[in-house]
Amino acid sequence: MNEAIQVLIGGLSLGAVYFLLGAGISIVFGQSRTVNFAHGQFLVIAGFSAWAAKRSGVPLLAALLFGVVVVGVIAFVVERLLLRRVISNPFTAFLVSLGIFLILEQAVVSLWGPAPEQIASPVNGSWSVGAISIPKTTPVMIGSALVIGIGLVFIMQRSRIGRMIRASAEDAYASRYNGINVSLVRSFAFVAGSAVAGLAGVLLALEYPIDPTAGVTYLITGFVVALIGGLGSLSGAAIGGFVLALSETIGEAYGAGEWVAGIGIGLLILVLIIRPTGLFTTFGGAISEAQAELTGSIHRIGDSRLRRWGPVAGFAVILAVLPLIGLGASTLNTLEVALIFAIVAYSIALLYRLTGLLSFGSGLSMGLGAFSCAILVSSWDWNFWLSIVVTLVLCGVVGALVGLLLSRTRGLYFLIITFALADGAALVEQNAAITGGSSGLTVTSNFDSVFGITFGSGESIYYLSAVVLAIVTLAIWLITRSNFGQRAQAIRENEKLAASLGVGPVGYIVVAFALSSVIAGLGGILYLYQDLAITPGLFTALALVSLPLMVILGGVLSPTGPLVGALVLSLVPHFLNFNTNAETYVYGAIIIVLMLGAQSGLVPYVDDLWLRLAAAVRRHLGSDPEAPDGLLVATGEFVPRDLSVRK
Amino acid sequence: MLNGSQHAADEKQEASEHDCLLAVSEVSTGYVKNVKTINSCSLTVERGQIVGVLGSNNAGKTTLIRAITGSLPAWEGSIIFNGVDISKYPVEKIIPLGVGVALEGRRIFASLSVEENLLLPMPSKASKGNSSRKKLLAEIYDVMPDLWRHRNASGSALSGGQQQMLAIGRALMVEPQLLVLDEPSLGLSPRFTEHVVELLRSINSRYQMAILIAEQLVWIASEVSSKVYVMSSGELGEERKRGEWSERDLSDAYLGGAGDSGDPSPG
Repeated sequence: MNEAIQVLIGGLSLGAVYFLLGAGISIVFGQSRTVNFAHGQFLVIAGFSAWAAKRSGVPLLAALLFGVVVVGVIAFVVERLLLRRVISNPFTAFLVSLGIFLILEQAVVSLWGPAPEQIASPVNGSWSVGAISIPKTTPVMIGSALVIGIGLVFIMQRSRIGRMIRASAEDAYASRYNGINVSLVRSFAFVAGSAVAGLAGVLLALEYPIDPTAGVTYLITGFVVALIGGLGSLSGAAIGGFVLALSETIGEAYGAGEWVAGIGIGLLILVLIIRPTGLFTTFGGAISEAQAELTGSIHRIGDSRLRRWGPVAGFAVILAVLPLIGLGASTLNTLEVALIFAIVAYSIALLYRLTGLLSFGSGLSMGLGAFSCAILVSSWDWNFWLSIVVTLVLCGVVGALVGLLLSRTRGLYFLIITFALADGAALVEQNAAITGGSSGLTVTSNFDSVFGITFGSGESIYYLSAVVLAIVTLAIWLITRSNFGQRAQAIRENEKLAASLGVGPVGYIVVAFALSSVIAGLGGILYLYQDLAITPGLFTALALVSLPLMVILGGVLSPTGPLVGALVLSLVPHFLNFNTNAETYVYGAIIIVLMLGAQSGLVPYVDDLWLRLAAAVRRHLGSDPEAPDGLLVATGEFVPRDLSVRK
Repeated sequence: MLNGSQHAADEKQEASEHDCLLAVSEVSTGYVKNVKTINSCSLTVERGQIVGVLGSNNAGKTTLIRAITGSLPAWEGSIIFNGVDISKYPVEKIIPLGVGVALEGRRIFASLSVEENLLLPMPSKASKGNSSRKKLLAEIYDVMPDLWRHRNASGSALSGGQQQMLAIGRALMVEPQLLVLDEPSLGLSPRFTEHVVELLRSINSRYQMAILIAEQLVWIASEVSSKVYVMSSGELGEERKRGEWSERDLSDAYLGGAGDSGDPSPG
């Protein structure tokens, strides 16, 4: 009994922190409509700043305030300088904020080291009430959360600025026409929401050590809380926060430690089953229009060669010939892995092409493919071919189930949830015994060569990957041109219209997911055999994001996009041979610059440049003095970017 | 009887200052670079005058309104409001100068209550302070009792017609010198449209407010405006003063130009 109460008390203060995390997410994503992947990192920065201040002698309260202020300033700078430029395009914004996250995370580690830290304070120690000890920090945390919570509700519901924030979140265009300076209001909301995250950080640091590399975990936690309670609902965040915190604390206490990471995801899945459109339809709705904007703006007429499938063959030839000029073993290995990643990237592109949904969950299928195959072949000693077939079938089935689960979610919500799913799966893989825990699994090859392909290293895997990639690309081409593919794309273009014609998306989404999952699983299997080992470290949160990043970077609807993206993202870090610290900074900066400059992806960007050049030439060299820029929109509803038109 | 009261109102309009409140001169703009959606449009609105811009779908009315009110930059030409050149001003800077806008499709905020919707707009610089706003709010509730009844309900709880009233009320809370309406009749029943027209007429006479209406329905122009412009395919025709047109003329004018615009842009 006492033990139960003890556990409860532990859950309470964690719940306060989770509430603040969720509230911050609600405000940042829901009200200021800014996507910020680095939101969780703000928590870390605040905690560490406060810790550093306290350590150099600053009094406790001032140190805590300092932590929050530091985050507020960083949030302001980041928003003004970078995030506001991509506000109309949530996917680009997601990636720009990813770049920011990388830089910020590296900064924390460089400044204060990779070890977790906790604030030593006079508030340490605890009171004893009978056999129960209540940490002194607990009332502080709960009290702060209460005060902030009430304050936030008051501001959002009763004040003029709250009204302006809510209006700007719902309809920026109409808000401007009411004299509201929408961008200023959004900046304010963004900084406020980030400051709340900062507050969560300084409070958390009072009771627990903060891990500088846990930025993504906090982000996901905040999201899960916000989504369980309903984005935009502060009381929902409170409920969600305490439910999650208590579940986790209870799970920890009663031995399910391995699976604690999965609790949040489990709750999320439950919410999805009960309310598939999410508890905040405005959010999902508004973002799908931004998504429609994304689709609309990518559709251009243009006689572009790059937009056809031909160049893929060209690339294939180049890639086939490449090893012949003699590359170093490590370069070859990098290229090999790049090709495998390209395969997975194509699975993401296929899903997008068929459904208009950009999934960040391919890590789930890839990991499933790799681990299942490893378990079957190695631990259970199955036949090589059988294990591959069974693994692929498993991937397909799981993919179909996920597709069914998510069949009514869209846009940014979809993106975040798929990311959370993949991240959860990765965490489980890291902790569970069957997947070998943190050391992963190795495959002893009692079949050193199959069809003359030696596994584990060397050129033959390279060629195998290239061949598989070619087959996959061909398959995708065929699928897209098939009846099924054409109908799916029609639905993607205009779901409402398709529904009115009796074509519902659910079946198509499930099949598309299954196909995509099988391909990603295939990539996972290839990866396994390329290395003859699979470690969960492969599926860190960052690695999970790099796959969709490849697709977006290359150009989501462009046939060569995923390949270009995969090559760029694999080769650039390879050739920039700095020490790891500087490399992360550069990597982050590159992502930011690329996404700011080429918002539809590299291939369309280069393509557009080409079209513009051609039009300019036609204008100036006389054949057609009035030639427009070649950027006429032919299909889809054209929605001008700045006007934030809402249906 | 309608004609009679209109005539009296006309004389009143003519008697008010012949000072140009809004002068739009040769304005062109569009949504895709180098492709003009509206071309070289000119119009004027005098103080206290009601002006109609008539056009069918896709004629460019909304684009023109966006250019005038600052959500689309004008590529050519000038826009002068009250002596100030607002050609390069964004929306948020134009509204406080005294322009109240009721947008196409109304765009009422569902996440705000009816009253919050009304209280949202930033008052113009010509506003006479907090107490006059309260008085204005009371007047609006007076004229639109439906809004009073639903004042704490979400904006989305209102019917289309009620939302149009709310949109107009909201625009009035800016305490504007110029009221701009983009297709106020859209989606409204004929009876409600008449209400709206009556409302506009009384606002004009009570506050001496200039009104610019972009509309598809020819009869609205005839009812209430002292002059109209006909718009088709992105071009604005000559101004036609009351008495210089018949409904037939107008219908012919704008139907004649309709359908060949081929513009991809809305409105």
